[in-house]
Amino acid sequence: MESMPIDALIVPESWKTGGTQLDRIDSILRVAEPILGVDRARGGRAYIRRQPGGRLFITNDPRDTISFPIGHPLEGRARYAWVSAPDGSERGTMVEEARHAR
Amino acid sequence: MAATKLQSNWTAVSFDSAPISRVTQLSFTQGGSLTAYAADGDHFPTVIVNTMSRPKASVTSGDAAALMAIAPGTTGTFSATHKDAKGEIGGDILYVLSNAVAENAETSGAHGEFGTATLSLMAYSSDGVTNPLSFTRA
Repeated sequence: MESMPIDALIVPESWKTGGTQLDRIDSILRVAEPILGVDRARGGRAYIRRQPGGRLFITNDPRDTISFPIGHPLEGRARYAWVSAPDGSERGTMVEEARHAR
Repeated sequence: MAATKLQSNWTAVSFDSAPISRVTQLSFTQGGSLTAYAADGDHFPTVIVNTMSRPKASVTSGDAAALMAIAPGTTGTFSATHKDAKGEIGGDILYVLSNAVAENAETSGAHGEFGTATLSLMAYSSDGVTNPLSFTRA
């Protein structure tokens, strides 16, 4: 059975390690970018957003949002189907309606 | 050479499709604010919560015309790269402020000094829950 692509990650901010800002960013990207399938050689990047509650929301597009935007017919509903991973992260697959809305 | 893990100078600064050059100062702020609660006989707050954050950015440039051309209320994506202090590959940090709204642009110049302009921006969240300020290694 083909595994679902992971389009978004939510990880605890406590996963950050290192003594400098770049170290801390890198410590998250090292985990997130392989999971999100980011290809840096082709210009891909994983973008990190600091969310309330000590969480980081990470996707490969800085315009991505957790929920459908205000004014959208699906306003307030999640744009991702989330699955909790044993490591404490949440892994999201974009719902079909969100793919069409891009 | 490895990245210095120090940042110095800004590059690739833009507001939507408009590049902003001659940048002398730039800042991003998470815009956190606190709300304190006290009641009854309390003389000090008993609860303090970050109930709201308003991410912002500000850029100062010698290209006054470019910034003064941006009208208050204009919405776009503001992005900037904070370069590695020695220009080493892999040491740059890219910031992106989505849904950035131009708040104000002002220009000034002292006698005998170069003139500058400063653009301030505030960002909104499309869904109300996603932080519009993101960052990555460039």
